[in-house]
Amino acid sequence: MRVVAAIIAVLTLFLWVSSLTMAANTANQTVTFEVTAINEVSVSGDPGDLEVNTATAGSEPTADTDATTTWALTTNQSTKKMTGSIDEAMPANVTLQVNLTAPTAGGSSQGDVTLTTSDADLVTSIATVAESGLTITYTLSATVDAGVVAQDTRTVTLTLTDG
Amino acid sequence: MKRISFFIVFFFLFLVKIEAIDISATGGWSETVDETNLISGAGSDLIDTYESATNATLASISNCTDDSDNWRVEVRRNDSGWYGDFTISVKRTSEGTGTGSISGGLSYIEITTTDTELFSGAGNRDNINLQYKLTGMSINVSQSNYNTTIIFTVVEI
Repeated sequence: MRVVAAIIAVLTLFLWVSSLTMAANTANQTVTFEVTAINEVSVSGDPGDLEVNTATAGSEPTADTDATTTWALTTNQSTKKMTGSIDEAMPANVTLQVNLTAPTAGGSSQGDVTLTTSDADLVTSIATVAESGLTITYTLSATVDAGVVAQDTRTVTLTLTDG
Repeated sequence: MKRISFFIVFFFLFLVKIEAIDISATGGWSETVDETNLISGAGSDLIDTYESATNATLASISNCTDDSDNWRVEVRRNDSGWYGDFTISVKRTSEGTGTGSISGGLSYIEITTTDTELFSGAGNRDNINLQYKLTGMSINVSQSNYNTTIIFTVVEI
């Protein structure tokens, strides 16, 4: 008799504990946000025509500059850099340089950089930043040895890459 | 024999007593943030605020004894690789269905790591629509996956 009562009591206790684990008074939902690498660069447009057409007697021709365009970038990564190149070599004794203003949030401008068909560092040590309206200054120069050079164009490619 | 009968009756009475109000939920929210989420292209920051679909989660209350069985639903989160400056909120966007009643929770409430009441009601309700909102996104948030578990708890009152 006592054994039967004990068995029923234990069974009751077991079922009561089981009910606590089976009862679903909570429910879970998962929220996930994936943030991808973001590296976006743009320029405001093309600079005006650059023309070397004056000189001071006794000196090399006067270089021409254009600072009417700007660049913008957004990156959520650190240690990036901007590089630049042109699609075709300049004529002999003619040089095209570009100077990119560095973001105020971080970055080091390399100043006036001569553009070639190989990538050259223009701004280094760029950290996480979102800035626009950063000045681009182009400078075209030529020595007297260049002679008369017919009007031509070059495509400048600016690239945000790992630095 | 009488003692055996008493215990058997007590046993079955206990069986009836152990049923509790249940909550279940389906859905969730998954979002990818990339360059298309910039406010205005290069030079701009990421959009700060994101909202899920209005029915991102469907919650149901069941196992009520009848329509006078009162309950409330609380919500909290448990982070597993979350960004400290994110704020996530939830609100109810539908009544659900059923013969019971429901109230509250129609404005966003912030989901913290401690339980906060979301809405309350009585009786069974099915497919209560819930919507989420996240704020605090920016380019200062590094490339990664950020996760949190939203925990809904129904409390009988």
